[in-house]
Order: sequence, then structure tokens, then C-alpha cells
Amino acid sequence: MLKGALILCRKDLALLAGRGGGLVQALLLGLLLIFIFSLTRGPGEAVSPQAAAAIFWISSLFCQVLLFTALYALEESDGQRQALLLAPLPGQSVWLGKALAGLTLLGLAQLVFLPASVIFLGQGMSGSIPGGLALILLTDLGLAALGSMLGALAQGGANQAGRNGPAARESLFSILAFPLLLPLLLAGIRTGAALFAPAAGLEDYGDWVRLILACDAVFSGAGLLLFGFIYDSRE
Amino acid sequence: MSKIDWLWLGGAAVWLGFGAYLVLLARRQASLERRLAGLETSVRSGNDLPAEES
Amino acid sequence: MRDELTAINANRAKSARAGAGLGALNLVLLLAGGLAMAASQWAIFVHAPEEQVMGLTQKLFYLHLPLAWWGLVSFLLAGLAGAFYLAKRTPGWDALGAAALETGLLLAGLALFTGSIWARTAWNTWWTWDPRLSTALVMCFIYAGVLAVRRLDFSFERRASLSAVLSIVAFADVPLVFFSARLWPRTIHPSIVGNGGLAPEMLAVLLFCLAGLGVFWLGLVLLRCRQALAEQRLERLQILNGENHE
Repeated sequence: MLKGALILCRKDLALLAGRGGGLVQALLLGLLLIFIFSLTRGPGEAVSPQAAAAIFWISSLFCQVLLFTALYALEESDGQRQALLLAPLPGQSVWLGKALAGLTLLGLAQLVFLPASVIFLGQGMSGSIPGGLALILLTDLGLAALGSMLGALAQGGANQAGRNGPAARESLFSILAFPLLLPLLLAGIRTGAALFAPAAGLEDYGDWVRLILACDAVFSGAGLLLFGFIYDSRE
Repeated sequence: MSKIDWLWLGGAAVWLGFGAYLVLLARRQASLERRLAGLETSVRSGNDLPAEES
Repeated sequence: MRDELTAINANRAKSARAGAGLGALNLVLLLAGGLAMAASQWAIFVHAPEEQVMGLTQKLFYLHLPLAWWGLVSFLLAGLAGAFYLAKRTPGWDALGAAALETGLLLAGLALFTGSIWARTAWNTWWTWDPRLSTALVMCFIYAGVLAVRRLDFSFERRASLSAVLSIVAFADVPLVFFSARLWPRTIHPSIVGNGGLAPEMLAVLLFCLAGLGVFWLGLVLLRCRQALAEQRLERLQILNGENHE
């Protein structure tokens, strides 16, 4: 399963990097959000570390939605989804491969979002940087695991219009992803605030880390067990 | 509003909420029956013998 | 041939009797539940003692907690029905899941409304980031999304599979949402449900309200489930009729 997943991951990354569109759009959207939120602070006003972390993670979430939509849209033309399903790979390989590709792209995007947050939102990075980055990665694992599942949900309907068309399904992805990912979002915000300004104090750091790990476990388990039921050849 | 008024409001909301849902179910049932009637008509017309040719 | 026809007719008669029996049970549950809920309103206003600190306002708790409780049970039922559908692929499980989703959303929404009124009367604010209220709000969003997915024009099997998977994931998310809301720093508003034990009279009224709403809830779920089964049968008939006319 892992070998198949890595092959798919490499294929998707090569395709998206080659076309450029998917990652660039997601990156631009995230940066735009950070920039627009920075306009809300008046002259001389500071954005609190928690607010800055919230803006960073909301940008990452929107970026994630666009990325996984683009990743799954790669197989939506010319019956490629059926070809992928007929390949001698377990269904979970598709989920894992897309998740790994999404995780890589999200990580790359966040490498841009983080300095942008520092610059536009007037933050410092006085917390432990390796620790902070590790926590961002851990949080991204959960985002990727669930994003890969919901991305599969949003597929199909390319030949249909109106409330059943691709636009309707993509908006459903956002509507479902945001509330489901709320625990990870909250955890990311609290730990991110500690990265920007550890003086903000985080007594229950351990609890938040445990929550992130629990979310990662639940979403990964759900992906492994349930992905096969939602990614098939039906429209 | 006094506290008892708020309590009445809460109780009324619960009853209204359930009532609204039951009305929704009733409308859905009516729609089902209309679709069934339409199906019966089309099945009946499908079973009609074609007109004889002279 | 005659034996086969007899067997078919016997099965049809059996189904019709089962259907009639189920309909009667449904009616009994809804009526009994409705009466019990009316009785529980009387109990809330007349029988339940007034709480020392919050006064009359506290009585909203007898409405709020049963709604939240049975809303959560609905979501659990939707998740279980989803799991059984994925395992067995029987349409009845999908119908049960759909019924549980809708009633769960209704109950959670009403729990939010009563919780909001309670916050307004007790602490002069329409919303308090109590973990339970926050969890109920997030669950409303998630399950509204799942119901939106069910309204898309998929084939029956795809709709049922998607709905089942989402119901399972959504219910697995409930404890995560609750714990994250609990860890999140809030204002000093106390938790809506107090930590102290309830007086015996209060407990009795609460249990009565819980039971009354439970019976009504069961009737509602059964009613919606039967309607969903009828919708499935109609869909199949429409497909068959469409094929016959081609």
C-alpha cells in the first residue's frame, strides 16, 4: 500500500508542479487572506499572537480545500478515475497517496504563509521554532488525512450542472471540512500563538498536543477504513 | 421580559419546532403521493393497447 | 404456479399486516410522547422546585438537557445506521440513518435555542462558549452539511454510502470537538450545567422530561424512517417505469 501511495504521490506532485495552476491558486488565496486581514489593524495597533495564528490557520485551511480539489480533479477527465480504480492497488493507496501529496503542497504553502504572517501581522517568532514547526507538521497530518477523504467526496458531476455540478460539490467540501477540522484548527491556533509569543503562556500545551494526536489518529483511521466506500466509479 | 416569559418562550419554541418538522413531513408525504399518482397514470397509459390501424 | 401465487400473496399480506402494525405503533409512540411532553411541561412549571441561585431561569434546563441528550443519541444512531449500511447494504439502514440525521439536527437546533435563552436570562448574553453549547453548534453545522450531501442528485447507492461515511466520521468527531471547546480559554461564565448534584424532586422531573421526549423522539424517527423507505420504493419504481418505457 505504501509503495503504491508513494508512486501516486509522486505522479500527482509532478502533474501539479508541471501545470502550476493548482498550487499557485491555493498559495495566492492564502496570501490574499493574510494580507486582507492585516488591513484590519489600525496604525500602531498590534495583532495579538492568537489572532495571527488564527489567520495563519484559516489561510491554510482554505489552501487545503483548493489543493485537494485540484488533486482529485486530476483524474476526472477521460475516465482516468476508473483506470485508477482498476489498477492493482488497494483503495487506501489512493487516499494515502493524495494525502501525502496534499501534505507536501500544504507544507510548501505554509513555508510562505508563516513569514507572511510574521511580516504582515507584525509578529515575532520568539517561541521554540523547531517545536513550533513540528506542531504545524503534526496538525497538517490531520488536515491532510481528512482533506484526502473529503476531496474524494467532491468529485464527479463534471457533466452535470446546477446544484449537482462541480461547483456545488466543492462548496460542500468546505462546508463539511471546516466544522470537522475545528478541533485541529483550535489546537493549531493555541500552539501557533505560543510560537509567535511564548509569553502568552500555555499551561495546557500537553493537552493540546494530545488533542492534535487524537485528531490525527481518528482522521487517519477513518481514511483507512472508509475511503473505499466513497471513492468509486459511480457518479 | 420576566423570567417566566422566557420560560414560556423556550417551551413554545420546542413545540413550534416539532410542529414545523411535522408540517414538513406532511408536505413531503403529499409530494410522494403526487409522484405515485403520476407513476400510476404513466404505467396505465403504457399498458394501453396501441390504436388499431385501419 | 398456483403455489407460487399463493406464496406471493401470502408475503404481500404479511407485509401489509407488518406495515399496519408499524403504523399503529408509530401513532401510539407519537401520541404517548406528545402527552408525556405536555405532562412534563406541567411538571416543569408546577412540580419542579425553584432553584436557589438562578430562580425560575433554571427551569429551562428541563427543556434544554433532554433536547441535547436525544440529539446526541440521534447522531449516534445515524453513525451506527451508517456502519450497518456499509456492512450489509440494506436500504432500511440508510432510511434509518436519514431519519436519525434529520431528527438529530432538529433536536440539536432546539437545544441551541433553549441554551441561548438560558444564557440571556442568566448572564445577559445570547451566547456563552460553554463546551456543550459549542459542540452542539458545530454538530449542527456538520450534520446540516451531511443532509446537504443527501440532497444532491446521486444514485441511491452513492448517496447512501456517502451519507453513511460522513455520519460515522461526524460522530467520531464529537468528542474531539467537545474536548477542544473545553480546553479553549473562555470568559468566566460558569458552565451551564452545574457541577453539583440535583435535588431529588429536580432529578425526578428531569428524568420524566427525558423519558417523555425519548418516546416522542422514537415516534418521530420511526415516522421519518417509514417515509424514507416509501421514497426509496418510489425511486425504484420510477427507474423501472422509465426502463419499461424505453
